[in-house]
Amino acid sequence: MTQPDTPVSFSERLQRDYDLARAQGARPIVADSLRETSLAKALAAGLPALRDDDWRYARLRPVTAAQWLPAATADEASVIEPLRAALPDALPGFGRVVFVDGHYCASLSVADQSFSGGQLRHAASGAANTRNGEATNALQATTAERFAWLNDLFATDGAQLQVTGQLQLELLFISTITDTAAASYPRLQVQVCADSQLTLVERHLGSGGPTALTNVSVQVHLQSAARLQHYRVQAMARDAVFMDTLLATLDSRANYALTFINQGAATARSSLRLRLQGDNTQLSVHGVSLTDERCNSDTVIQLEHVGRNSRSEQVLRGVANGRSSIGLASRVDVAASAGGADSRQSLKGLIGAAGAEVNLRPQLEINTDEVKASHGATTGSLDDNTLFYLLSRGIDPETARKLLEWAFIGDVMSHIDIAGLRRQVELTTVSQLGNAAALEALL
Amino acid sequence: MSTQDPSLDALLARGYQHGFVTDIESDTVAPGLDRDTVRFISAKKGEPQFLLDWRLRALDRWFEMKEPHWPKLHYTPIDYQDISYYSAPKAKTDGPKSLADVDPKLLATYEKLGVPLHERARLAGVAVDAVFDSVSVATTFKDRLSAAGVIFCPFSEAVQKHPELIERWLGTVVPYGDNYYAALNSAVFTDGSFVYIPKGVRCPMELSTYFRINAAKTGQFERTLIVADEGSHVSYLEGCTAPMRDENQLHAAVVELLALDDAQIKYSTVQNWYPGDENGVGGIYNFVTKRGECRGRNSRISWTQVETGSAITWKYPSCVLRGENSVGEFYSVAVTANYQQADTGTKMIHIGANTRSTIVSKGISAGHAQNTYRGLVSVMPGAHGARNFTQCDSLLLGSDCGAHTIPYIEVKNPQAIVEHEASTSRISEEQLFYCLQRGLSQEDAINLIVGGFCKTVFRELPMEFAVEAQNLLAVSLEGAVG
Repeated sequence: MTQPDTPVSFSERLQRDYDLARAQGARPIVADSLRETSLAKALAAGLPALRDDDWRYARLRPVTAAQWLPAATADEASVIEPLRAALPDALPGFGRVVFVDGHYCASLSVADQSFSGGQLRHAASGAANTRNGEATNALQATTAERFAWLNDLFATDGAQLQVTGQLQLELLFISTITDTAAASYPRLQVQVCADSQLTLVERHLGSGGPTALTNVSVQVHLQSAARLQHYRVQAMARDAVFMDTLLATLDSRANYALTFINQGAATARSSLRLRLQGDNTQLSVHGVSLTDERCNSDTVIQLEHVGRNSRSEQVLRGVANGRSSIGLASRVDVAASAGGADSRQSLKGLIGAAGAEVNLRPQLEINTDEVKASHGATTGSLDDNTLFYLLSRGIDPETARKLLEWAFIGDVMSHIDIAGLRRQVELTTVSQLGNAAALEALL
Repeated sequence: MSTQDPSLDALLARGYQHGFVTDIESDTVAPGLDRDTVRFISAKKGEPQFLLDWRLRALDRWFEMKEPHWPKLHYTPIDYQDISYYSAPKAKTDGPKSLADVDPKLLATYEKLGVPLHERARLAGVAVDAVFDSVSVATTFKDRLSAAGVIFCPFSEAVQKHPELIERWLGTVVPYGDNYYAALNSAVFTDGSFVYIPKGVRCPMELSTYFRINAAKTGQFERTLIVADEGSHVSYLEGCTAPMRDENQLHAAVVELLALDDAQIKYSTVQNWYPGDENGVGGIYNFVTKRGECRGRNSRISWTQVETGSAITWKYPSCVLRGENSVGEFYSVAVTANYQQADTGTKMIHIGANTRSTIVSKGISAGHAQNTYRGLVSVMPGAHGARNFTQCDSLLLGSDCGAHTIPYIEVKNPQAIVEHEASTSRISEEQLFYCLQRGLSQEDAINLIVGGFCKTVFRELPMEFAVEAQNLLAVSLEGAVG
């Protein structure tokens, strides 16, 4: 796609790209009515303003500079085959399904279509019931998650997963797009049926470029007494532009444990909205953001307690090195109906270098008195006493610092229960923190 | 609102204690706001040209601005053209030269409010500036303060007697275009207090200003400017009340504090504007911009506030910590009952090295009230060794009220340490049971527990205010819990 010489407004560009995508025959997977609704919402909302609290710490210029039209299916010989060797090792006991540039890739997927504990369809397979693009009981994106509307408009494939028993699955979303190509729109809908259990590893990997956008949309619905352990790893290339939306609803007695690691992309924004709809639900969110150079990572979580006796815990950590910036915002809403709610938040930021920046916003919105809610937030540098302790035991200063940074994110890393995944994440993390060899030897 | 306890209901019916109206002849300008209104106010005050120009620039800026809607406040839109921007008790002469010249009805009003205007009440040891609607009516102990070199006078008097100080300092901490309400205030402020503490002087007594809104259909727009020169120290107290009326009245004030090297300012407020009735009818809309700048090394500014009144409160007393080793403090109790709404908090902007700040905020919501703490701690790149500690607790009394905590922590220096903790809960049943089984009534038990909840803030208040604050707290919550 060629960019026009004269600048156009957000709405003009969105409308133009939407029309262009249709004219080019891009095969949408989202129902026309939903796309029209999303287009209208996106046009009405526009891009976030500078003073928009939900976007206060996000960097949006790269998004506007990026291509928005969806990428075509990658070439099997020149793109897909070389990827095979670069994929992370398969996790024992897990099925693997791979999407490349937002399109299902059969040749890299280890399992397909049906599993003993559930069923996965990719929307572009043509099955009629996979083309509505909307999960049962789905939350509607708001302006805080407005990039989900762009995914509605441009997604050309997506995974729909329904779990009826016990299932372990790994989903890899790989981007191969470059500056000259178009955007990738990974799309995932997960429904865990009553009393079912899913362990899901969702990884976003791949190349990028300052104008290569990956825009993810994930919807999760946990039915009564369903359990989901969800690991999300974003390890995009250092120059990628990554936008991400996760909307989840929990019915009564559902249990959702979400762990996320954000360690890639030049510009990354994750918008999560998690609704504890039913009674006696449990949610835990453990997440870490690691940035360096001039990267920006912004995570905004909105957690809604609606049903009675719901419990939530959030542990968020951020380590900013170089001249990077991190935003971690978490808002807990306790509705008047959510008596007996118990919510805890812990947000901590570590600034590893002069020029780096950490912004935290732990927010409580409480509308009933039958509640226990608390939060703690800290930012700072490494503790001098602890550093001295390590130095006095012969560890060199750089390794000692990196070791303490590693310990700082231990609260989150320790929640990765899958040994293979944990090892892989540890290795990429120590590599990012620097002084990898020394740290690896110590781990 | 009815509770399950008849005795508490009876206490609740006692309501607001300061809601009387003083029937006094006043000089009130017709409602409406334009450049002529500003010129009228300025002419009425006999102001120099620089101040009129400043006011007009503020008005022009205000016309360009939009009323902010980001606070968690819901109220009927304010018609700014339906407000009278000047109302003053009709003077028999050009102005009172002493308390003997002040209208006895006005003095009686302040007697009723318990404000020690008569210098015979010198045992109180507090110098008072009393502001009635748009003008200051009396200031006590001026001679004794003058002997120490302290200037404490109505703002309009300071404009006449010390124009060079006003021109030098006015708007240096809160510029006229700072925000919508500050711009409005800058254009139409009518009086307030001015304090200047010279180098090395420790102010010999507490200074106090008492604000009273009396006239209907008017707003009050006062401006306070306190400058503490090098090595000086001052403690300033502020109180306020208003009559009970069914319509809402606007109060938009600006307070500027400036502390130079080694200076200290302690600013305490007991805000008790009329909060509206139990159905949320009437009450003051209270939009206040308060900011202090620690411009000098080792300076300190401390805000302590007890907010029990107003239908709507929008207020964020802040500290700009520019000087090295400067210290900012914010201690706050905000009580909302019935249908009151408060969106209040603070900003601590760390610019200088080794700056420190402490924030302790206690919010109490009862009835259908909404109480929001909104705070910003910002550490700029040059603020090496900056430290902040924030504690922010909310207490909910009843299932229909809300408590909201919205802190922003923005750190751009790797050597800074910022710690924030917050909790929201109702009164613990164990605590209540413990008190009841020792023979306390439920009301006393709740007062005791709430008093304990607020203790860390009350102990920061000057003694006489601490007692008043404790009593106000009890009155505000009477009948709010059943």
